[in-house]
Amino acid sequence: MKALITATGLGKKFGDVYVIKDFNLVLHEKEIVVIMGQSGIGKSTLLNILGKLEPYDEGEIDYDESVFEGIGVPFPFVFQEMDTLLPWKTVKQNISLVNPKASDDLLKELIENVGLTDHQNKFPHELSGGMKQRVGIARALICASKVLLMDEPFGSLDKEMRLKLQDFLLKIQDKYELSIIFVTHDEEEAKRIGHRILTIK
Amino acid sequence: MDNNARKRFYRLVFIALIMVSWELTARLGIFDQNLFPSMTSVIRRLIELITKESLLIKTAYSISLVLLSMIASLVVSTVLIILGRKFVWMGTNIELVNSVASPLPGIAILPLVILWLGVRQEAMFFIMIHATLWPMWRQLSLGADRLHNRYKRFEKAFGLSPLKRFYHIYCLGITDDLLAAMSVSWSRGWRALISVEMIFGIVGAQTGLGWMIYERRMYMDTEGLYAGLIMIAFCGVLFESLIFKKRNLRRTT
Repeated sequence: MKALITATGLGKKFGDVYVIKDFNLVLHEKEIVVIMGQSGIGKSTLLNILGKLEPYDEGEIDYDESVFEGIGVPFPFVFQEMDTLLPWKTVKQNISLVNPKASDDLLKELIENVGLTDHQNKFPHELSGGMKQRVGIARALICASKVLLMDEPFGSLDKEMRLKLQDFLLKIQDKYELSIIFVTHDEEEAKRIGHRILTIK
Repeated sequence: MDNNARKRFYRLVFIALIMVSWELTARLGIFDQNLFPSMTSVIRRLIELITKESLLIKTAYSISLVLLSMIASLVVSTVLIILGRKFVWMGTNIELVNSVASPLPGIAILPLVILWLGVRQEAMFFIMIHATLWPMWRQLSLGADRLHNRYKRFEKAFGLSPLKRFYHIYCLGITDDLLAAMSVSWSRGWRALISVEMIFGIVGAQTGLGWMIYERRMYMDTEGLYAGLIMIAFCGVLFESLIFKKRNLRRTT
């Protein structure tokens, strides 16, 4: 299987203090890699670095060219904070905003696949936590990227909803043949969805 | 009766009590009639001023001056916020200028403005912008900071263009803060205008409410003076509490 992202000896310092040191990762096609570790250990920083949102101080990251061939942003994120949805935009508008190049058919298909067809004209405050996260996932999927970066996306949900969304994510991953880097501090969640688990200590 | 209806009822009763006590005090002749006319004569004069002496036109003129200066302040605030975000040194200095200029009442810089610009409408407008700009900038700046903190990772992760960010996040997201900014800016502007009008008087083709009450005093038309004050208070309350009233336009998540 082709490696899409290869990080070698990655290091990041805040001042003189290392938050990430000598981190290695390979993300293959159609693979879910879970990065696990306690809160505050630098998982989100690591994801930001892999998604090119933050610079790094040491090591190198190689991206396969195919990662940049999509019609939208190459590394769409799904965040833990559900309030990154714009409250003044409907579900449909929130999704389409990030990729105006996406066709109406793709938009329709995605909304249908995340089970929000009946809610597409609702505003975020009219949705449940699980629904909001599904909007977040659809918003990332509309970028038609091969890679998805997920930063504890189900962390603020109750257990039942988390399990449902984990199943949903596995289905979506299979359907769109996605490669996912999934950050969590929940061991059970990591085992359930990850093809490989990397633990940061 | 719900809570709001009860509050409204208490307020109406209070206003009615004030009016009745006023009327009784005036009729008992405790104070000189020229200084303290009866409430009925004030209301009669108010109706007369509205129907025969263009009080509404004067009011509209005063309101339009405040609104115009608010629009100018909104444009200047937006530019200052954008520049402050783009260049850190500028943001810091705008903050500094705001902390110095904001506590200065418009009337305090009047002598200086008259020296520089003369007793002209431009000077009046300058003072009005000074009165409305700083509270407007402060409120909008806080709103923009809040939006930036909330959406900066999203903006970056999805590579939103500056124009898209400006419109879809900041313009659409700042509506509640804009309303609060308008409200506080209005109250500062309205107070400044009435004071400034009394000093500038007839610098333009039209005069406003401030000059009107000043003029009423000169003619010893106390009923007219009170009627003008009622109109000033009414407009202040109307805009501050009803038109720019804080409401949740930006749907909460």
